[in-house]
Amino acid sequence: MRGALVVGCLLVVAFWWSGTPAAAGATPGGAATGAGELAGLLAAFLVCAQLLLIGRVPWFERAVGFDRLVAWHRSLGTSVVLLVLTHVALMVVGGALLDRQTPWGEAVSILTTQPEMVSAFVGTGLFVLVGATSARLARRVLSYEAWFVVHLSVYVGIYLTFGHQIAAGAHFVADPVARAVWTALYLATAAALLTWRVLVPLLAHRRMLLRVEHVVPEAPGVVSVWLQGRAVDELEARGGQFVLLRFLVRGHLTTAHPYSLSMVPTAHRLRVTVAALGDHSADVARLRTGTRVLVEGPFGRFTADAARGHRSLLVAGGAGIGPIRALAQELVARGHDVVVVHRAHDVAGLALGRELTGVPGLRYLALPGRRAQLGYDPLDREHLAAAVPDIAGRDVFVCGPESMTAAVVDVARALGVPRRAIHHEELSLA
Amino acid sequence: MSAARWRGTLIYTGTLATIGTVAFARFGPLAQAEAPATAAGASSGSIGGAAPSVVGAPGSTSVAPGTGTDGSGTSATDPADPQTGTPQAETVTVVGSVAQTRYGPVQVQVTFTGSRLIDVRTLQAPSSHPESAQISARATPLLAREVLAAQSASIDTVSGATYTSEGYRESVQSILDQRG
Repeated sequence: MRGALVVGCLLVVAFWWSGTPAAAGATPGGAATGAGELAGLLAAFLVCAQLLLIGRVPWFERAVGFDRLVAWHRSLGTSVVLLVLTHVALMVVGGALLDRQTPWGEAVSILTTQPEMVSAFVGTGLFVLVGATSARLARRVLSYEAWFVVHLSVYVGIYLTFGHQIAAGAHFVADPVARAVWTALYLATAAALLTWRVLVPLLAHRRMLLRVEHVVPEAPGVVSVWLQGRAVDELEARGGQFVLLRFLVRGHLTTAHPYSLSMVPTAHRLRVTVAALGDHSADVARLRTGTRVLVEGPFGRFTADAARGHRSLLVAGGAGIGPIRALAQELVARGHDVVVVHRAHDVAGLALGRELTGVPGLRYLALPGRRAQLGYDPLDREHLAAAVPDIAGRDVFVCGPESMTAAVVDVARALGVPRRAIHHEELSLA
Repeated sequence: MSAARWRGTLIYTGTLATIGTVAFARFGPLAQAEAPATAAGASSGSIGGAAPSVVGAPGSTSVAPGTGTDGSGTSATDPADPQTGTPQAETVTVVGSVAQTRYGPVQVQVTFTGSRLIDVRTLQAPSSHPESAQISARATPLLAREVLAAQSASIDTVSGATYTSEGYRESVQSILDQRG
């Protein structure tokens, strides 16, 4: 994945190199313009990469995993927006030097004399807006829904900026082959998005006709949503994976949210378990029976396939019990020796605990209680070693709040679990 | 987690460094090689000529620009002493003044046989932006043909190359003015 990105960037650099006469850089202005063009080309290439990263392309999902794709998308997003701004700055400054104009005058003359520049300007504005709303600071303030709607406008931005690449881009104006290849890159990206983000989910919907069957409270603030449909098992979802669900009802239409499967789907049913924390998740508790649901996925590599041996320790915290419950089911079915450690603030918070007790081949260890009340951390080195003495020989799967996950990973490492036998997944889409 | 936090910024910094390196690799050697050449061949006498490298339109050789400090000059291409040649058949090449346009300098050279314009060559045309070079490459042969057809500087503007056309007219006119 990373390799493909680097190779792509190198190809872009090579293309720029071949299309840029060395003479163009003889003046500072020419050199700035040339570098600006390279920045623009790289940004335009990375835009496609960005879309493909979150394009639900099955090969990428399998090879890298949805969570890491999203993480890459986030990191690369920063670079793309900054590269776009660098491109604009270099083109304006370079042009101003060449024309012996002020940068402002040059900006105006670029906008008025070069083709497709006004739409490119608007598109750049959208890029900056999307970048700004995705910054960590802004994300703390913005709701997921508001952020998502702004994020969608980037498609308009990409459309608006494509014109100037082809019509005014020095490397494309005179080279029909380059123009064709570049257009093909964008069309292929668009086709991939249409296929996997629109067509496949819609077809799946037509086939499955998934609806909300009922909503079951599992613990304070935790509900399970049962979905019913035809041939649900065709999703081939695994325990530990998650799906993106879009409930077709007002307030849920615009956004698909990730939900962990809390059991291995049967032929007609799948179940997700949700901690009713945010505005949106709280609304899930009020979903009505019969609400239609669009499903995308499944995603995630937090599955039984990750296990290296036949003995596993599964550590769940809070709503993390959902995927752990499904994963335990699958591991037990495979004949693994499974220990589930379940942390919660109190006994009432041990959602789905009932389903894990009395299962042959599975030892369920409930550890309720706040650390302040207990006077110790039941997951610290000493206590975890006492609870699961053979931890070093087990695969460790962790799902829960970020801080708990990090702590358990450290403790497991300290207790001699190899790094590659520790599995956890960031359950965050954005 | 903490490593991933600044990954975006790191990638950007790395990319920027790459762009800088690549641009330097592409342009660097030239900037050094070209600098003295620019000084020596400062033919145009214009202030800060935009494109020191004379990139002519296709078909033109990069003829050394004229000798006059104002950027125009006359040189007889006839190797024979002009006095001995037939006056009617005298072939003279005149280099026009440099016309500055917002996209770069335009300079034309015209060869006369007697009072007839027989050859028009573009010595300089806007080439600083690659787009400008594209436009110049397309427009200058058309402009040259127009000059030959009109036998004067009254030529139509080539669409899409307004500034270059104007500069062309100006440079040709400077030649005609010199010839009287």
